[in-house]
Amino acid sequence: MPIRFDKLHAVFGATFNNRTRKTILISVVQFLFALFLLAGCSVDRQVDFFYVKNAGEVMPVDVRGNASNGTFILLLHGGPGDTAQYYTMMKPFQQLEENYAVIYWDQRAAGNSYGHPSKSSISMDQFVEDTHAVILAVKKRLNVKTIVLLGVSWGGRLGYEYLASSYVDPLVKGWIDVDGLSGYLSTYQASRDWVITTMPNRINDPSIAQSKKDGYQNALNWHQDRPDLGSGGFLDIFGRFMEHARILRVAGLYDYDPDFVTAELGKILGWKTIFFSSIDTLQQLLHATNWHKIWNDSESEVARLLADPAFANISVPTLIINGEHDGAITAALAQTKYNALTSLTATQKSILIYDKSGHDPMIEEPDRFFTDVNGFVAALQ
Amino acid sequence: MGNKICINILACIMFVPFLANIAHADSSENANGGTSKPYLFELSYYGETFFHPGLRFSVGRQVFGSARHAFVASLATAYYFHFQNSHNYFIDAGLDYYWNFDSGMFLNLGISQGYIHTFAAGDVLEYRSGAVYETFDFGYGYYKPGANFGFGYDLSRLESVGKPMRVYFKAGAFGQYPLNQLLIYNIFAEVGVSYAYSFR
Repeated sequence: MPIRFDKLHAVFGATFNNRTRKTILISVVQFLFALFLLAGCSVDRQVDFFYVKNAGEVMPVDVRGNASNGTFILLLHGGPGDTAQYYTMMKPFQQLEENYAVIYWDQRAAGNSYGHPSKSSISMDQFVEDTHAVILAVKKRLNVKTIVLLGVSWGGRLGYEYLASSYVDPLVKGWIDVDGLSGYLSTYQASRDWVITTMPNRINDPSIAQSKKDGYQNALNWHQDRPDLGSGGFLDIFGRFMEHARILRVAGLYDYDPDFVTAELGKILGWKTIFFSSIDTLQQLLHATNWHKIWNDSESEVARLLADPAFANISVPTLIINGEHDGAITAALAQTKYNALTSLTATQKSILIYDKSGHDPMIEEPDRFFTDVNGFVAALQ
Repeated sequence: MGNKICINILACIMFVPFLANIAHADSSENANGGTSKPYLFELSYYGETFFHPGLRFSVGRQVFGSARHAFVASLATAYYFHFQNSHNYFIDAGLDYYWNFDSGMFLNLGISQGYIHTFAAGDVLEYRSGAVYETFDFGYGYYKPGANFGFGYDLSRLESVGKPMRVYFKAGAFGQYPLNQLLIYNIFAEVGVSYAYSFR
């Protein structure tokens, strides 16, 4: 429809009487006053808030919950490039905060973290050192007796790397791996095996809608043609991994009930979060979708990320939680990780496969998730 | 490399209006025996993502165009605060086009570029040599390109005001580069008043 420029004068020609002007002025002043009040508001359940600066990056650390017993759960969020702040809005984490303090840390090049990190400093070694720095900072400011790491997806990989490093703090008494990544190559291959094994049955199931079957067929075709992540530079290999993840996501193969998870995430990412929270949603989104473009792209880093972490070096009690229907981090991969924890006895490690969950058990089975995590942490005290 | 070239080109383009402004002011004085176009002072509420509050102040001057279609070059400075996210200060140079209607309403389109400095919104502990220390945060600076649109009303049309004032609303987007090696986008909205003042 063409714009009628001659109508613009009519539209903008309106004038206001004195009463209307006064009403508008009062409304504007009230609105601005409310905004400045909002800017100084406090956060429920917050114990401390500060930043950790390391190697060109400033990273926010938000500690919430009950710090009275000295037990802190350090959340290692997913991604790379996600944010810990979304977890503050999830029910099981809010329940955990009633018993323990939860440390929500935005990793480098993720969430609200900012700075001028060099490309070489966006690396696995640097993430591990950052984890160490955050633990030292929390210990410096708060009365910490026990630390439990809880890593989700990418955070699972980071947790294993930290626990296998020389940085491990003596107060770290436990480790919870939630649908955690292993080496990118073995993670991909386990996912590919799952797709190739399970998709034909779904495609032949008459009770499944054709629209879903199209996604399954696309995932099957794509993975059949790609036995591994191929060769090339960092961007080639991890670009392929990102494409693999996108295809799974589009086909609804991340979750047990993708519609439910989407609806729940929609609540978290609503207008209140976008406009009135501390989260910079645009920044977080750009971090999450571009992590592989800014990562240290040296050959040694490619090899490091593709390879599995040194599971045999893990020496703290470990709980692995994994969704049975997670097509990206499969239950079979979780079992492989469990078996690889050879330094731990059967009483020091456990694995729980959630039958009504995919990649987000804290969303799909929140009560069970809270009960299991709460019980594990309680047993460590 | 490509980004750097683009930034340099943009920088050159954006500062041309200021050179033109100076030249225009001089020629105007010569032609009119000491009179020149007024300076436009703007003061506004500046909300990054609309509700992260701040204040913006700018000084501008018409550099070319007519009373109906005016091009104004300006220099601005602003501060905004994002709770438990960041304190931000910026200065930028802008070029705005104004389409002024007979009714007193006007529409506006603008581009700008400048420098933004971001500080942590809380205590900072720095990790050095295996330990953490409380530290003063000097923040980080970024290149800031931006674009905006808006509308407003010329209050001088109102007898009860009788001053060369305008109220306006602007919304737009700006970037921060290189934040974590990326161009990070932000959106903003502004509600403010401008005042035209002649020094002669």
